Amino acid sequence: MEITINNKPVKVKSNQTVMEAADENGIYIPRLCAHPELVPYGGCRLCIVEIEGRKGYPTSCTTIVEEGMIVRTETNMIQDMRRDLLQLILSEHPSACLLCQDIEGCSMFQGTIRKVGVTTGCRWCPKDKDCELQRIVESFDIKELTLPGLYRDLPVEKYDPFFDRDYNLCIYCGRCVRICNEYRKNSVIALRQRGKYTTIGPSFDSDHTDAGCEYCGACVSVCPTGAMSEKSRKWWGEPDKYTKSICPLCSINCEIQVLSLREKIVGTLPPGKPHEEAGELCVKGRFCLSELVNRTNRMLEPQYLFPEGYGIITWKEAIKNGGKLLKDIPEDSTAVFVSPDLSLEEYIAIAEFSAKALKTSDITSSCLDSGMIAYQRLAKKSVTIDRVRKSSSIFSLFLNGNYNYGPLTMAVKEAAFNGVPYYQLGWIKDSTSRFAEHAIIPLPGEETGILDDIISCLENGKCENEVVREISGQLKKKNSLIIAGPWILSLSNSFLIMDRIRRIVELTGSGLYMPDPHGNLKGMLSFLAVRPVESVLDKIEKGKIDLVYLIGDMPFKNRPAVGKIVCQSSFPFPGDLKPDLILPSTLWGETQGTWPGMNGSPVKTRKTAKTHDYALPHTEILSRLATASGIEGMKESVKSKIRKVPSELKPHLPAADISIPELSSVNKDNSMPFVFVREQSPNSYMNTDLSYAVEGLNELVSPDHLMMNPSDAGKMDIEDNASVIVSNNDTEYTYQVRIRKNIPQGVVCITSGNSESEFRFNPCYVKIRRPANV
Amino acid sequence: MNDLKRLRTKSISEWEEIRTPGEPVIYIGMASCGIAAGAKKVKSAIKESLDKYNINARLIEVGCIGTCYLEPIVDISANGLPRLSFGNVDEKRADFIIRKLLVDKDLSKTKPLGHLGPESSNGIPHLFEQSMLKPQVRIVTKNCGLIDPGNINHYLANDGYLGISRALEMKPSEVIEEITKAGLRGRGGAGFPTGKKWKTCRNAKSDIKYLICNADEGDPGAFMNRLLIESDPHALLEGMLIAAYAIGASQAYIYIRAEYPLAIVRLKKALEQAKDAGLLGNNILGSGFSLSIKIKEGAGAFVCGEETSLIHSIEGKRGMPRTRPPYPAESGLYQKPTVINNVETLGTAPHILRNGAEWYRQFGVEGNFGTKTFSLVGKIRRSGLIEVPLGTPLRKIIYDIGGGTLKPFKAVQTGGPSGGCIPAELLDTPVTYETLSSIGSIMGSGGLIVMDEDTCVVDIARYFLDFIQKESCGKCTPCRVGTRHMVEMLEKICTGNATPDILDKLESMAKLVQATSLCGLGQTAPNPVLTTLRYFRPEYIEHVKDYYCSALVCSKLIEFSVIKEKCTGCQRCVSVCPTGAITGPRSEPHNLDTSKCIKCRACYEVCRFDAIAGNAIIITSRKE
Repeated sequence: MEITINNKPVKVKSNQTVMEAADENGIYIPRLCAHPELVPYGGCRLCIVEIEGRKGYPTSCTTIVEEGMIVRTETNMIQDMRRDLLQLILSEHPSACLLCQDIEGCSMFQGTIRKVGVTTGCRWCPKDKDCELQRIVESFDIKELTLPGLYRDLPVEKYDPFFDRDYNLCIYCGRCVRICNEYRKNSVIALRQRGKYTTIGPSFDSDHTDAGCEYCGACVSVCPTGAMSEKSRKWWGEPDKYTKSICPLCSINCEIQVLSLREKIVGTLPPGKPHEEAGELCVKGRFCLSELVNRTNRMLEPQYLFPEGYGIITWKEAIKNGGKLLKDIPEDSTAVFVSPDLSLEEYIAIAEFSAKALKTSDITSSCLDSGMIAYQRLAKKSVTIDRVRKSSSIFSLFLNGNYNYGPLTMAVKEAAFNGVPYYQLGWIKDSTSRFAEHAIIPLPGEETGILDDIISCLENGKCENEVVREISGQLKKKNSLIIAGPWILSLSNSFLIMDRIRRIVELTGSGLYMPDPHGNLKGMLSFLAVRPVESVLDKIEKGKIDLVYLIGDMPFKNRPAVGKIVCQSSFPFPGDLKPDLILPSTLWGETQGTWPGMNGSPVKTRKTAKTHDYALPHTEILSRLATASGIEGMKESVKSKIRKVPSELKPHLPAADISIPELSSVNKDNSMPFVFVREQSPNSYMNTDLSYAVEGLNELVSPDHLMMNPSDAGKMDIEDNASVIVSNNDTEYTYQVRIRKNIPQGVVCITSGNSESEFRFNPCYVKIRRPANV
Repeated sequence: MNDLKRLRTKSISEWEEIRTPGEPVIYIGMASCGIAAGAKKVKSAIKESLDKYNINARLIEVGCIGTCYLEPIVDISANGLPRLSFGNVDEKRADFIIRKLLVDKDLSKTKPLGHLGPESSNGIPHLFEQSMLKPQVRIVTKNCGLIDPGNINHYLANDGYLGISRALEMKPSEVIEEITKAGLRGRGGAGFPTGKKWKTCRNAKSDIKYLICNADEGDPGAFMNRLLIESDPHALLEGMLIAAYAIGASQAYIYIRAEYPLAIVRLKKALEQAKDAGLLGNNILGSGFSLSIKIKEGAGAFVCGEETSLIHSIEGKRGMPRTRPPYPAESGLYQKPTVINNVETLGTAPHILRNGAEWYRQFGVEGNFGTKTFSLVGKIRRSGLIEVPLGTPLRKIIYDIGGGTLKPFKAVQTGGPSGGCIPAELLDTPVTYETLSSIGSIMGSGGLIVMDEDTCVVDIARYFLDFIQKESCGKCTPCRVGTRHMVEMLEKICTGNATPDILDKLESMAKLVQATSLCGLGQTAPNPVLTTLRYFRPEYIEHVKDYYCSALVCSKLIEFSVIKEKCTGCQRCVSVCPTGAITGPRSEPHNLDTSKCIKCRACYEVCRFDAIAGNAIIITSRKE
């Protein structure tokens, strides 16, 4: 089809808008509310055009092209009206610097004036030079404000983690509301009230977290002005480099781009144009990663445990001491504990090092117990995220989608929104729960029982109830999908559950998707011959190990009874470990690396930041140590192996004792009305945990707090942060409460980095009371 | 069909019976206007009187006949006389009438307004000979105030559901033909040809289509839809049946504002009765056509009267408009083809189907056939709801029907907040869609607010614009921020704070808002300002330059004072003044302290009308 824009004939496709046609042909039309990922809105009115034969000034973003249409985008009338509309916007948006005649001279003296509490003009705004409104006003060469200022005087909202909201700068383009509703499908915020009292926020004055905000940052990305600003890079100014990378915080390996300034990582964004890509990231990849990398407690200098205590040493000395430790080390007397979050290069180097320098095959990871091995055995069958989207039905078990697995929950929501039946089994509501046909909250025992019922229904048609019948019926259809989450591993019946999942897949041919909270477990299992952690810990207990070498991993509660310990990591170890040699290493963004990636084929990432002070990459440390202990040529050997990395990784699982134990459960007792369930934190990274290390995530996840439903808390007069005593027939514990709307009634939940379970069964029945002296 | 025939025959005989009843039948006008005037108390008083005099009589609640200035209205059929109508009936007068008519059987001094047939009597004129009613052509309001809205039999007895019966014998396309030929135009305000809208929807390819009745009626001063639903809800239901059949919809919604609780109650009852009579639901009258109607209540937003906002509201979303095209007739509720019509448009359809397009075309003028209801309110002698053929000159409506104004006429505002003020020079303008927009106003939903010299047009413009700003949904920049600035400017004008260039600024802002707003609310918001500037510019200039409000309304520009020579010292004003601004001992001229005066007019009113007071308080406005 052909139309005419500004007397120029252009070829267009039949379903395009006039704005899209203009964009594709290099004709610029100003806009503030239009966004490539959103349904056209027509709110800002800046994109108005004249169309021959149509009265008035239709918005080009909402008008579909028609054969022979004649469009004019920049007549004098239109430009005047655009200027007037901008004046209207500027009468409500504090814009002191934008139209000041002293702009040239002033900017010389401004330095870091930006750090203010209230933004009154561009130089004081976190989005200075990155603001779409600023760009448009500057392009119109507006010299003064012709209308009186009617500023809103709203308080700046700073009480939520990760981003601030200054709605005095809001121009009501509605992009944030629409991206949350249409794209991420969380529907957290909306336009409230009307007229001059219009505001944006959650309905009924709820706070963001209670309204279900995942802190995915989509709204922050698409906001054209400084109304939304990321706390951690608020005053850094414009980044000077954008580098493609991947996020190493879970097995999904989302594509991201790293923003750096003077070679320091200041933030992360989804790939693509910064304001245009809302992305599918979760809060961890979007906000926590850069905060984690820049933590002030990172280990940055090598240290050695002298008789008098720790002393900082040079690398030369560190390597010399290390070499001394390793030289003539007896075979099979070293245990190596490796983090599941390293790159493929690092695993190849560790394999070489362990074989040649440490002369040991006792390599393991603290996450790799028999439970995780069984989990990975099943997870081998995982399909792609794209396949998740195309399922005919989805049954999700024990997946905590809150603050995790962004692309996975988005694929589920997208499918469910398009009518795909979705069923959820678990104890916490996440952003997918409202799409579920049935969101089942299992009582202790039912978490396995339901799966047994489904198997029975599939095998011989005896369906326990309608829900079981419905789910089984859906699973039998082609392209059905089961999603299972690593929460399974925290449950007492984990092996039974995994066995039942295996059996259901066998019976139905259902697809399977099983994410895990580690960035490169797959890579580790492909390049390292690992042992189950139980066998190595057993060896240590039996006194057969002399040297423990920790590479980014921390499997112990206290110092084990061994001769020497070497710690090679980026984050500090607990005080009572007392390693003999501390070697600080770089993190993911500070070296290049190869990762499994989202779509099956390995992805290479580039170095995005300068190495922190004296930390060295793992591969460098190991190769220097190897040389110091008399092994030559490790570097070359590793390099040649890296070149041969196959296009598809084949994880190899160690043999493990996976005997299926008896079903453990507890009987219902009317005196114990609550279901208590614990979740091992899915936020560990190297030897630290994001939900403890990053303040914002700590607020959201509230580890070690007893999460409770507001109605239950209200009935017992329990306030947020109050102490309660939780008990069953065996024991009792005291916890601090955190009240959260996404916990169902009758359930209390704990997420913790510490894997010990206080009660014998998980989940179990408990009763709750307030301490006596309250 | 046969069931309906039987039901109709029964209804007709029931209706005939109460027209010439054995026992007296008493009708009480109990629409919202009547109740506001005190009809509930009058009903209790009537019951008491009947008890007192030991009379058995039937009481029937009817709607409103439209002569609201005469409310409460009570009609009585008794003693073999035709039904007699009485106005301004309070409790005392009710008792008096009952005693005289039903006990003494003597009409003298009861002052009936007129009779409603069947035959004339005793020199009492027919009710419709009244000046307010005589020039009217009552098609849509035919039954209002005459029948019981809660009794489907009354509707059936008065040609009810004959329209849909005839329509079901035609093809849907033939029904649309009839409506098109009749020239019916949307009565909600835009005047879009109804037949064309129905045809577009009929031709749209979809398995599901919807019909929506827009009963949001947000215009201040407009109550045409309310009156029709409270007085004759079945007229609306029959209209919806015809429309749904024509377009091929089997699900309809009535979006009615929550501020009409009585209308909602009566509508729900009518729906029940229609369902029981087989006129709603599956296989209506054996035709194979099915329709179910749901009621959706609004939640107080004026913008939800705009069709795309209304659709979003029904869908459970924020009541915010979207750009058109696509128009709802192609893609509306849940993205299906949807026809949205005003209550009055739908209420007209049964009459057209019953009597034919040719019959309808005898009323009105070319391009504007038929009649339109108007709410005639404001400074008019006879206020209420009227129905006149389109093309009737404004002068006839205001003077012949409305009886003119007490004080000199100044302007009439048509079309609510989207319309404009029409000055005396233009009163010969016939009321049609085109002529009204050619003089800068619009027909709108039919509000006619009459103003006299005591009304300040600048204040009126400010009032309407303030209303619009509060109701703006906030989506588009020009309406959200532009109207805010216009209100600020008008406030400055009304408080004597305006700069000399403010009228130009006001006009250019008005034109910007008009040209660039997304929906009708913003696009028509500047109309009150633009028309008053066009026809009453001197009044604006007086406010700006001379700080002079000739109507003596704008409180910051007026001053109250006492003419000492006329003051009788009665202290009436002292007792009503809320701030103690007026002081003075008995029998001595009083003092007014302007610094305490809040311009509430209480003293002014009491001094004017109280018998003892001397009409000594005057209002003046600065003039340089």
